[in-house]
Amino acid sequence: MIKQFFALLLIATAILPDSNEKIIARQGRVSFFSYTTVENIQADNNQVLSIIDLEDGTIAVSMLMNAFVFEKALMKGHFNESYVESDLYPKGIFEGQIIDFDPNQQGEQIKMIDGVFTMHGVPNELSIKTKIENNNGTYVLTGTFETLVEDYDIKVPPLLSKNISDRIEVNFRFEFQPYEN
Amino acid sequence: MKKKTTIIALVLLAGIIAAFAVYQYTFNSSHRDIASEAVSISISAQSIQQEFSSNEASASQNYLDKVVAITGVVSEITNETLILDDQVYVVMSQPLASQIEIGEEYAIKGRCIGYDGLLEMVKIDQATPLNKTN
Repeated sequence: MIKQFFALLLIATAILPDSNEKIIARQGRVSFFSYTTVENIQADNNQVLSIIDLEDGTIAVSMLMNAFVFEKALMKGHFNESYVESDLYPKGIFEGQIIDFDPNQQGEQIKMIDGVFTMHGVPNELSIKTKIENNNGTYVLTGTFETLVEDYDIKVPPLLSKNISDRIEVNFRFEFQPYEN
Repeated sequence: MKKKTTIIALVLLAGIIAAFAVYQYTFNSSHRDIASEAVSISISAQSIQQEFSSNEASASQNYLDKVVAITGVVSEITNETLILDDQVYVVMSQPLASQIEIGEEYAIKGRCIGYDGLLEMVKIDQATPLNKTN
């Protein structure tokens, strides 16, 4: 009986993910929405990179502003040229920590991520709720949060202020695989 | 009298058409079609990565949002993405043909969207395969 128990324990430790490892999502999706009575604007970026260190729960996200896809070419032009100025600030970077993250827990867990999102050259502290689904070492992180346009020092001209909401809704979904470095 | 009204009507019509054309052009202009645009720079995967890693700001000025042709050895491949020389991450606009193999030399044309500092890779999107003879 004891022998069998130890055999089981051995198998279990072999299957469980090594805590000293990283996971990566190369094609994470980040979308944002601006809802106003004049028009709704949506942009999607399917090429967002993220890496999580399972040992301490640190998470890094890197997105390229030029990769956001809009419904209209004009919206994309305004976004890249006037608002985020992607020629000067091509990247948005988030660095944070998943609080009390247990990589070994299977199934769903809801956690908070505290960190700093830098966009348009302006760092902004965010606290984001995320649902983490662990299915045998592949992790899916999803969530929604709101952020303010003014927090990133983005100036919307008065003529267009009715077209763009002060609050931007952000949705994200990342599918993580083990990362062999 | 009749002639005058015809002229006024014609001028008005021309004005309406012009206004509509301007409206279409500014508010509904079509997205860029990278595949049909001319290549502005041809470069190897290693050279473009080196330029970005040594001076990201100046490389961004040279390559960002431009159509580039890049050649390199395929180091990773999925259905719609490939990595050249472990240094350039390419997202194709169409799923890749299945006969491409790791280790093979490959050339693509696409839009440079920037440099990813986490993996130290240059990123290309809306890419199409490039025939070496072109």
